[in-house]
Amino acid sequence: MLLEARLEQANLLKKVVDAIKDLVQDCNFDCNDSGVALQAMDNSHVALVSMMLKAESFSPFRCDRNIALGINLSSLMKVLRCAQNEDILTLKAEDAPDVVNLVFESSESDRLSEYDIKLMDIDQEHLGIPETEYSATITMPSAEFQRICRDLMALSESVAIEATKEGVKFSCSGDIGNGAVTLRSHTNVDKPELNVEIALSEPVALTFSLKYLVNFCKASGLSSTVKLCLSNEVPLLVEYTLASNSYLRFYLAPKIGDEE
Amino acid sequence: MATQPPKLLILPESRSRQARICTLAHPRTSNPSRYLFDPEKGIYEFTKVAAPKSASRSWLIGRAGLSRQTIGIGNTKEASSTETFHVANEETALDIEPATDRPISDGYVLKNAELLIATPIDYLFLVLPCFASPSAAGSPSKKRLFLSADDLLEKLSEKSKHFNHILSHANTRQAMEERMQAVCDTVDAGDEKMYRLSEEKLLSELVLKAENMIARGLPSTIEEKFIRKALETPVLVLTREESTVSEANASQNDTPMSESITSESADSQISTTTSDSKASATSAATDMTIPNEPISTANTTSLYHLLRLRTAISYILSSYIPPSLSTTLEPLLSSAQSPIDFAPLNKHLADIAKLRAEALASRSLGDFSRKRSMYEEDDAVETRAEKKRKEEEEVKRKKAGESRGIRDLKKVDTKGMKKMSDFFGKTAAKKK
Repeated sequence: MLLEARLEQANLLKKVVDAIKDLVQDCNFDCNDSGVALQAMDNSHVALVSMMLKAESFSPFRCDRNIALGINLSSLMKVLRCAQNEDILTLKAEDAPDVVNLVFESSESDRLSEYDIKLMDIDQEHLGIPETEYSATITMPSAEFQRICRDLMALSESVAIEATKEGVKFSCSGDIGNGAVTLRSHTNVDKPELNVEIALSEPVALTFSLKYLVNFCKASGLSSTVKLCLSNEVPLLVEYTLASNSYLRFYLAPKIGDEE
Repeated sequence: MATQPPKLLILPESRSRQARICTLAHPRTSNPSRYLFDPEKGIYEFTKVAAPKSASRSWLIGRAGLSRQTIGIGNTKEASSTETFHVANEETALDIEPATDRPISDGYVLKNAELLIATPIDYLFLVLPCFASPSAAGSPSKKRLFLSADDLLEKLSEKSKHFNHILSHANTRQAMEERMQAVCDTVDAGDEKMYRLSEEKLLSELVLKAENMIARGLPSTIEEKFIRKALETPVLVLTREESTVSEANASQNDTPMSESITSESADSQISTTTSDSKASATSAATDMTIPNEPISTANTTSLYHLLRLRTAISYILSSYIPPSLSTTLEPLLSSAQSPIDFAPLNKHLADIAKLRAEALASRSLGDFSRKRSMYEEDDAVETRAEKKRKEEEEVKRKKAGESRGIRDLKKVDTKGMKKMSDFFGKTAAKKK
């Protein structure tokens, strides 16, 4: 066995795949000794998803050689639905594999289920994403971000995100009218997951497609907080931080042009 | 061998007394075939005219008074100049005698209702096989040796025992050498001429023949099958269902007719002839009829001319030219050195084929009437349609594999949004 990765909770992979599968159809899971990585763009190539599940997220993790597992995410989701959230999940692949093997072990009973998913050859371009110093970094509860996106979606296709010293304003205008949600820095001592933090080096105002943002929000279940990073004229970064330095990041190109 | 039924021949009225039926190797197939050789007029091949097998026809041969006359029943070919000869077997083949040795006094019913017409054939075709020795085939022309006429004609007499007889007539031999000169590079070696086949010359000679052939118009069946149908563009979906049926009928009618245009010996050859010329008519799917075709522009006319020309050439190639030669000539014909430029025709045919494939693909595949049509191009179109269907299925399957979210995202207006690759550089190496 070339790859053997054991996840304490099938839930993690389930949620990750569930969040990505509405953005990309097929993609490569690049496995190496540091973990399992995934990078893919949507059909229009205006959005990018980058996932990293570090080796530390698994116990144990073993990958003898770099290997790319091309998987159809819908198929993977079908199989993952067969797993209970609390099941122990083990990913296995042989050298030059035709299939990836998933084993679900029930944590409570002795139930053991095993699935093979056929792999596919995916020719994917890989983009190098540089570390960027963003002008504005907003950390907020993921549920809050999801709610804002969904609410504004009722009015418009796109949202303007404006970050200033006063706070961050999500505004939109559509056929029926307009709307805006403003958040200010906020610290909740009892529930730190409800904190809103705004780190700003200079004011930023950018417009994004709400459909995409709503799509990204499907990852909200993965983390209680979400980090939005903005700079003028670069893609928005929406990051969900996972345990053990693992992450799920979405990038979205801003809307530039005549409208708004 | 005692009783071979008589055959009905139509011979040229002006033949000389020395005219003989002889057996020579067929230029294409090398099978022994019968020819009428007249030292003064030249050589004639026999073309068989036959009624379709389905139509029961026979000849009633009788004698009315002194003048021997042939009366056809069914085939009312009133041929007063026709005489009946009996060709018993090869040994007596050279002796053309009015059939007095076997009196047909009280009439004779000939079961086989075929008629053999002697038609003149160019010496060239008979001579050509001597240039097509297997060793010469495929080797480049410069390697081919110059040979004397004696040596070349020697080869022919090895194959056909009656060839020597033909050669014994000096003027025939001279005529043959003249024809050889038309298609050969020659050098003089002493008082003897040496010959080497030149494909270019042969090709232009054939083009000339083909021009002649189409000058008087191609036979209507060939015209219909290889010219008109090949060049017609498919039309409305609605008309297709009927046209397929009518076309199946048409192709049935075609069969006997195409038999009738092949030579006597060519029974076995029919299939090759038709299939070869079919190949030349390339991509024609030929199963959609166009009610009113627009032959208006000069462009179309020239396309028709080109296709006629090519059909004629390919008919000649597949009927009279030894296979080893025709295989070298065919690529030459389509190459740049070809005396005729078929490029516009090829382009047009490719366009038509594309249109047809599209039209066909849009049609239901359960249309069995199409299977009845005899055109092999149909198979090609069918495989293409099959391929297309598979591709569609593939797309469908892929669609099924994509989630609702992905479908929804396709509707998003991404105007004003740059591609990710505009922001991030491509890397060959894997990101950590």
